[in-house]
Amino acid sequence: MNKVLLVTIFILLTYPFTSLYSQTKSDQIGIIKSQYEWINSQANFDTIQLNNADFLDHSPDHGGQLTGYFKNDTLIEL
Amino acid sequence: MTTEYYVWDSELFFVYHNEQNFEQIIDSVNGFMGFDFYHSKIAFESRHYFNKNTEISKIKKGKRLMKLAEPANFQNKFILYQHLLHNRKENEYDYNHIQGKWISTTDSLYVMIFDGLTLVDYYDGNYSDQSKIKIESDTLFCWPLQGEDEYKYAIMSLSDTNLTLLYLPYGGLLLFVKNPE
Repeated sequence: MNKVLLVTIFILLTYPFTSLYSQTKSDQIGIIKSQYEWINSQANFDTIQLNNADFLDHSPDHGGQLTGYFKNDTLIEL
Repeated sequence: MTTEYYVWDSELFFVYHNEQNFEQIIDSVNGFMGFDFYHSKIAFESRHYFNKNTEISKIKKGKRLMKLAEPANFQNKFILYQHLLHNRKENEYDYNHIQGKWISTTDSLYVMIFDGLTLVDYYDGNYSDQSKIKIESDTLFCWPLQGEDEYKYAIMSLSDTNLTLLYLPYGGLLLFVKNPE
């Protein structure tokens, strides 16, 4: 009975902290989704392209390509 | 396989990765005839959420096609790719103009061919050496595939037709003209 009481007290004491952590992580993912949507809504990028020999140490079957998307000289997607 | 990296304030915040399968061409008489390279479907996809350079959440869907194909660490790959792209962007003029075949004006048997970040040297029509290159602040860095040497050249001038390099640190001038082919 004492064990059950101790576990209950522990859960009640730690709940606010675990709840706060999930809230924070949930908020962070919400911000990430907003940033992702903003980037995907952009147009008129400057692009830089590299072929596989310039960024990979192996050659994939159908080649590889790295494209960097710049908005006002700032890299926002690759 | 496609991997998209999303960047905010120079930090990675999201990665979308997918692996695609080409559809099989099945003939009613002969059975499997090969793959249809014009049509593919996503067999596996994953979404990776980052905060302050740490992955905070990951969502996976489907079955991996190639276990070895996924980068072990998106963050490390991102840092490398970001550096390469920034370097290319900041030195875009030099990278674009140096591409192609250059012939030495002092010894016409010596030829350099730049292809992307690869430099191949020829002498009298014969392969001589191959290097990986990088351009930074008007300096050309060359690392031959054999050995661990690094060669540095100041790019004194570079146009559509002429290239002048200064070998560092000894100061020898190397003059080249572009092969019009």
